[in-house]
Amino acid sequence: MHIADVTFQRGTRAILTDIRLSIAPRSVTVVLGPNGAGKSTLLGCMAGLLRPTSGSIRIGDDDVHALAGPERARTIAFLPQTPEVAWPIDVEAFVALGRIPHQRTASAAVNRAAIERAMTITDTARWAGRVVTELSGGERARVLLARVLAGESSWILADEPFTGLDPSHQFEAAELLRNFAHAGGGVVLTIHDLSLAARIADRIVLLHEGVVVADGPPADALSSDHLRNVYGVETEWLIASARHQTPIIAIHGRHVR
Amino acid sequence: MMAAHRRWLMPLLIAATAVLAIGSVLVGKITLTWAMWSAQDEITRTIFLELRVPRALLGIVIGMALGLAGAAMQAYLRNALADPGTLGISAMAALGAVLSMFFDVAGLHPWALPIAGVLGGIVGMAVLFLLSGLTASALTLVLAGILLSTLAIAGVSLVLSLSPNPWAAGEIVRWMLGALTDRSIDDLVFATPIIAVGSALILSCREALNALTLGELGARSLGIDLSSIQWRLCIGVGLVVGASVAVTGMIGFVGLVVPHLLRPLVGARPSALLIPSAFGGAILVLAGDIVVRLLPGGSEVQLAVVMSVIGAPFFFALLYSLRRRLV
Amino acid sequence: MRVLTLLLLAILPVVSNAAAKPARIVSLNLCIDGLLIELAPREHIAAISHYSRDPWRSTIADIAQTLPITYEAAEEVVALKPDLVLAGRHSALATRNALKRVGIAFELFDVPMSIAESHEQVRHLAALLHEPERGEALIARIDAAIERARPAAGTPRLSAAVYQPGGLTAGKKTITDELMHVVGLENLPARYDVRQHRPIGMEELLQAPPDILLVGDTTETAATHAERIVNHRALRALGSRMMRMEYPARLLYCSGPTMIHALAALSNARDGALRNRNAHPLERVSATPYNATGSAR
Repeated sequence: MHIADVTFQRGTRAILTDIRLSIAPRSVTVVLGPNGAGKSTLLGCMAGLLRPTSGSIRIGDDDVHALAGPERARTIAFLPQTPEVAWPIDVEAFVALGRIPHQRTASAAVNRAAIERAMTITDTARWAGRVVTELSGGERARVLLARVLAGESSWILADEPFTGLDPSHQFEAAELLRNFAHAGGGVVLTIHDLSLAARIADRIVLLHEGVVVADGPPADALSSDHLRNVYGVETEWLIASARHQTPIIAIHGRHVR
Repeated sequence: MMAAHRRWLMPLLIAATAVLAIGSVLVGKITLTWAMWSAQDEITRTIFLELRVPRALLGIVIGMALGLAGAAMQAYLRNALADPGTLGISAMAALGAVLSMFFDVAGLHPWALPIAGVLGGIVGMAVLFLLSGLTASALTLVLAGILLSTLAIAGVSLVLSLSPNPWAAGEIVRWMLGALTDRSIDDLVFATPIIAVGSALILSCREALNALTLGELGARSLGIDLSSIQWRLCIGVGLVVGASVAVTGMIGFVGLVVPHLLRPLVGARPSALLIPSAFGGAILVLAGDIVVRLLPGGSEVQLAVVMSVIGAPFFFALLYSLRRRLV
Repeated sequence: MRVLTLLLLAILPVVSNAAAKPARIVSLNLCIDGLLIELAPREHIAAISHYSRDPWRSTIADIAQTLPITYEAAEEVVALKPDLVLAGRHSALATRNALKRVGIAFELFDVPMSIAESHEQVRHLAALLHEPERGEALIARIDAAIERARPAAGTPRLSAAVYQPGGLTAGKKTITDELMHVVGLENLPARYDVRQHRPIGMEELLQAPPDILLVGDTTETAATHAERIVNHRALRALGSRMMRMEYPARLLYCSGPTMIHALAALSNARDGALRNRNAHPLERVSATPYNATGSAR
């Protein structure tokens, strides 16, 4: 995905300014930044749901905004920040919603197969008859991902998919997304938690006030200097234990100028 | 894994509709016996063909229209309180129709009155979409509906009270409390095509209404063109409600009660609720119309009164159960 | 002695008032307006009700255009400085109370339910107006009209029903019922427990179709539900059995001189229907066409 000179203005405020990125599939890219940095806006533009004031977003040769709705939806699956479930439908029907972009282009059998695959991967098949709105937070997160996976798109864009999840569920979701990336898809996420981002990202894009401040592997992008400038906190990159190599970003305190 | 228990729903609804339609044709102040029918008596034939049959058919058509409109509005607005009556669409259609009478446009052509009703309905839907905006909380919607309803009903009363027509005062009541009494085949002929077109428009939105389960952003991410849906629903519901109200006056609560009762039986999927709600609406209207004719008394009670007696407590119970989600 | 003089002086105005002929009369009721115009000299009529100018409701619309009218609000009435106000028993209570407070005398009139009651009302009003001879003259004219309207001996008795917009008909104990009787028509709705005026369902009407359907006139565009019913297809379907004759709604509301018009309309209807029967024994032709806009609209 090529993001070229994207600027997004709302009224007189510039939410994003001259963003230039090239994101490759087969990797998990995380967009980080404080509140108001423009993460959700950037993700929305990438998904073709928000139109940038200037610049373009292309996947291969296609401008994302020039694609017809269903075609775009077949290429990019989007998980919004606060996923709404308006009606108490059952899990299987909910996952089936992910096939809507394929209604005209795939047969019923193909759709059925995709739904089953998605539910198997996410281990949600056993809840097929249960009502989505009655599931717990972690269960619902898996079902939401199943819906996204059922669409069999080449890209998954998710806005803060881990908020409010227990640590084990966070891991589950992260693993599903990593597997998707390894299988050849492109994943772009926004995350709030710095340590989680450090753990799962192959590449981090750090946004500050609508501008890309850092772009690279976690160790580089989340250096103490960058974090000091963007978040105003003193941080230190730690490895929790030699055995697990799990990075933790310890926040020592606020930066005092 | 379409649960087996759902497969009996449509056949049951269709059968119930047929049974009630037959019942409607048989019920009335005058008892039509088989002897009278087989004698091919002109009077019996006239009563049967010109009064009973149109009334039953109209009951089906109007019931389907109101049930479908209610289910569609609830699906789009993602709110179980939506219904053409509660959100003021029926009232706006009545206003359109009454204005056409007042300005003597209605008499120019037989189609003028239903079209005026349709225009009123479409304007009502457009205003509703404008007022409810993107993040329509239940409270905003209900308030928008009250606003539309009040304005439209005040408009109807004002227009009719200014009308030089000597029967205007009675007419106000007839519009506010609709009925199927003494309607003719002509009413059926005018209402049915308009309702058919509107229903087709609404049904073309089935997929989008399902996608809206994920909210507006989620639906758009699935490739749904929301503005196209808005147009189709605006015009579709306007056509369906406008034609119904132009022919019978305002009959409320059908679109509220029926989708709510059928929702658990179709697994709450919005698209699966549309056609069953249409039949459910037909069943409710036919049943109500039969009750109207079985009630004692000289003149017939208006159908809308029976619907209100059923619907108002239902609405109250619904509000009560949703109260935590209202604000 | 002085006390006696004072007493005499006190009762004198009452006595003289009782003897005085009303010179400024106001009527607040459509039907009384009709009587008033017949019974009182024009200069004594201060105002009649505004309903009289409505050609749909009033048989004296033309004359009413030349007379002052009132909208029956208390202040209007008081400003007219009447010495007699005539109102119906069901006129606005608030208005009547206001008149009472100001001390204006008014007389209430009921709706007559028979020809005899109507005559009595005419006499009563004539007496109030100090015009007894005019009263008798009017009654004589009405009686003459009644005699003229009676059918010739041996005339077949046809059945009829009044059918106004909204399905409104006249039942038992109405003037219309009695007039139909006079004219030699059988009032069918009277059979169905229709008391006074109330709507009759179309099925009820059609199960035993009357020979004559006395249909009210509808407005040009006839778009209201009430009016459309008068042009219902079902009526057309049985049109060969029922002869439609025009009978405007305004003839239903009042008695007195209106009865003369009503009798004329009823006789006309009876004669028209009989002629039709004799001329086309098998085929009936409707005298009043269905609404000009074609279909039942």
